Amino acid sequence: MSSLKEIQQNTVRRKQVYKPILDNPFTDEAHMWPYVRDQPLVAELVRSHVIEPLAHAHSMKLQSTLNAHYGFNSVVQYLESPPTPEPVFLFVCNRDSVPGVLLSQIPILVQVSSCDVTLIPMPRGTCASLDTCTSTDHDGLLLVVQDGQFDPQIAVQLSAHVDHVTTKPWLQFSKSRIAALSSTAAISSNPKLKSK
Amino acid sequence: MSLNRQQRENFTASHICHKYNLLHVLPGIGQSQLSGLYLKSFYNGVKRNRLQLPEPLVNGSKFCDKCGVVYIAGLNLDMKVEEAIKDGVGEKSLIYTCLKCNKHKQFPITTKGPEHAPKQPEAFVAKWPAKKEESKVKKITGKERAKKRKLDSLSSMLSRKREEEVSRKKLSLSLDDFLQK
Repeated sequence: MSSLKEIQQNTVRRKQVYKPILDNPFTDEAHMWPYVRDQPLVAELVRSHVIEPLAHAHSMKLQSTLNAHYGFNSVVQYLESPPTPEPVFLFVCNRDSVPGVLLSQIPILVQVSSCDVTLIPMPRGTCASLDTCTSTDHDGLLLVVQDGQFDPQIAVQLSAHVDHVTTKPWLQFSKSRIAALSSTAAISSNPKLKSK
Repeated sequence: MSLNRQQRENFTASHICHKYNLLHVLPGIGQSQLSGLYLKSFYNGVKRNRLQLPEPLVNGSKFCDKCGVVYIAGLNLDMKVEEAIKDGVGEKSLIYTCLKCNKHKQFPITTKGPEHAPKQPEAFVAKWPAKKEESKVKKITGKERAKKRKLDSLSSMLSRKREEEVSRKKLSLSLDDFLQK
């Protein structure tokens, strides 16, 4: 007769951990989003110099002084084929209730994009303030082009406080050194020859 | 040579890691045609070691269901958010299109509630309360029926009679009782 402890040991299943698969140094999926140092300062800078001017322009029905793009489709289209080579800032509300599947490819797209993109994850609650900037659906994404209208001092401050993500080795596309060789081989139909 | 538990776990982790990394190498070196084979091998390894994969690896937002390539936006993936209205309800969905095999994959994002159209004021129509028809047969509940049955039983009738007799025998100050006695 087995003891209770023995039965418990047999029935308790060990929890399998998949963490090392995803956190391995090659794919490095745990560090896709950059780390923001001094988050309150960055949030305040964005609020006062980006969101408020955009919200003011929207409320007064004026043309915005900043070159801004809202929404998933618009941002993705810009990053895939940037019309100008100017650097851009991409503000993403990844801590708000934006679906994960919508934002899963954004850090990859930022690394693959041909233009210089500074990805800035925003603190919780920014999504609500973005609602004041536009009447269309923004999906928690705001892209601002760093052209002449964007304050260069603010751009320097933002870039200084956001760590640039190191480019992942699997996203550095290089020409294959392993070439697939296509060749042909004769198929002998005679089984006697095969045996020999 | 047999491995102890720790060694076996380390071997499993490194084995699965290697397969997972190989999947990521393929698009970069332009050998995406092997992706399906490598993904199948990865899933077999996961199944053999009874590992539980996170949601993005299973729901088809990481690998193509058809050709097995790792999705890289801007390289082999086209993403678009589309909004369709079904039965007055706005349904927003993210559509992934694999540029290798043209496979479409749809992810529902949010469901918006129906937009409330302003109600037009209805014309006043006087309505009198309808006369309720009173039922001729009075409804008796089961509880009442049971009570009645109990009272009509022989024993209860006898006990009632006995009580009456007892009360009659009792001395009282009424004139009737005095005359009877």
